[in-house]
Amino acid sequence: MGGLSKKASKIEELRQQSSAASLTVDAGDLFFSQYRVTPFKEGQDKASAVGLVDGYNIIGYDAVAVGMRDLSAGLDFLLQLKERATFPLLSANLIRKSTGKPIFLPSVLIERNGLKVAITAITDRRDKTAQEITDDADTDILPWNEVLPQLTAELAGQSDFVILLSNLSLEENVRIAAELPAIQLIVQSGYRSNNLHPQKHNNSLICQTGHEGKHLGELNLSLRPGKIWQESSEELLVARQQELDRCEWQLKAMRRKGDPEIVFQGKPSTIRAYKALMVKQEQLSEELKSLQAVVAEEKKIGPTGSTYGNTFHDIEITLPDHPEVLKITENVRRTVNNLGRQRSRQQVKIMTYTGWLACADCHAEQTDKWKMSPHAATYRTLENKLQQYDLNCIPCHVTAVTTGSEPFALSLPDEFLAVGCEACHGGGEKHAASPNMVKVVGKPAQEVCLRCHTPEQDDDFDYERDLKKLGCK
Amino acid sequence: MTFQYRFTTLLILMAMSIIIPATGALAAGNGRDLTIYYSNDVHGKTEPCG
Repeated sequence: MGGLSKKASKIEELRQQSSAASLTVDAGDLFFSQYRVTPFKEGQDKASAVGLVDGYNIIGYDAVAVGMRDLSAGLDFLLQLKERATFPLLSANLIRKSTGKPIFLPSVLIERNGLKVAITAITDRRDKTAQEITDDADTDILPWNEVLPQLTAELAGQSDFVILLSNLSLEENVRIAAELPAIQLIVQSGYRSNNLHPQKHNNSLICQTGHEGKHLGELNLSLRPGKIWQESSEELLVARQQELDRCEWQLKAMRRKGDPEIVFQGKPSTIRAYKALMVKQEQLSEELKSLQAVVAEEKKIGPTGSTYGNTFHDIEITLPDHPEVLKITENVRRTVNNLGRQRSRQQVKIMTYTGWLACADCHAEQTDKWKMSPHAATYRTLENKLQQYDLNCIPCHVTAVTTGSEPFALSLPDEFLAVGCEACHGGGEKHAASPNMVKVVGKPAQEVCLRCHTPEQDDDFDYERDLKKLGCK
Repeated sequence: MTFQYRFTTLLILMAMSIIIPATGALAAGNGRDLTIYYSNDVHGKTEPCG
């Protein structure tokens, strides 16, 4: 899932289908994945960041928050991106020490459909100093409670609706919601990787999408006087139904091989989890029946407060591409791959690993089966997409590289250009030298597979089933 | 009531029936609709791998 050009076409489609006025916002940690770009990846990461600015310009974002990770390449580079962007980059608490003034816009006021919407943003610092984050001694990142109370009061006086784009944790955002009821919506970033369906805390809704651009959130609001969120039973019904669907999917998976209390004999924690799921299923089913009655009643009376409905759109690879944004992402891909190619000329010695050719000497039958498996073709899938030098993609498509920072990642010999034997069984250099004295791992643990077969990359992964496909045993 | 009083009252009522809907204030009963498209934590990804 994911892809900027597909997200762009999805947003365009949704805007065309809806008659409601809309705003498009991003809560930050947009440009980089690490807290500090490494010299090895710097060129590629900066090229991607520029592409994202150009893409967001075309999409027409109304506001983007400055997250802590957005400063990974230093404040100067982010200021260059700000000059390139047609959307405002916001942070109310990242300031110049010498002047005490915010470096980015602290807030914007946007009018839509007769509504005045104020948007502000807070940047996180975690346990680091501002200088460690920005690479600039004349900066500070103030705590939210030194900035937001006064700013929010001003914004509430000028607008009908206040949105906070927050780079802080859910716990901090819940505190903000408790102390500042004028903020009615908090979109958060920086901590979770999954979608967060809007949670109501005091008078604020808190929500976020999953990471890496694989999902788009759509929040449909109907705003009424008093600005108090009405607990929407219809919304709760949808959320509970989704929970029940997830619960029943998990029970079905556990029951696939028979009665779980027999199948998982000897695994008491698994049996406890199964029983807890059955209890949860029953509770959710009862709750759904009551909610259905409440929803029917509410439909007769009509809403009295502001209401909302939320949808998460998966950015599937089957979505069409936005043609203008596609040109940008293709250009980024070529730039990133060429930057990697330029650095790939070195001869390298890979310690601990031997490559699959050495394994074939003694394990011919297994390697013959492996050659027919998907793992043997993983590097080719990158070459087909011109991503074979993209350090973000390489670690899950080759052997002996676990992050994009290894200096040899761009210069691997041919026998490492696939997910070979050692990717699952561990480095085989010592085993190849003394096969009877030094053994490698037999069946790899599921955790080894899950490093790359994450839900976002492979939501259909099944450990036992997919291990058989490799045919190594 | 005098004619002038009635006429003035009528004028005021007519004016209010125009002004109140036009203030842009949230009307009781009918909500003002707004859609927020939101994203976060893109982490530099312009497209998926492979």
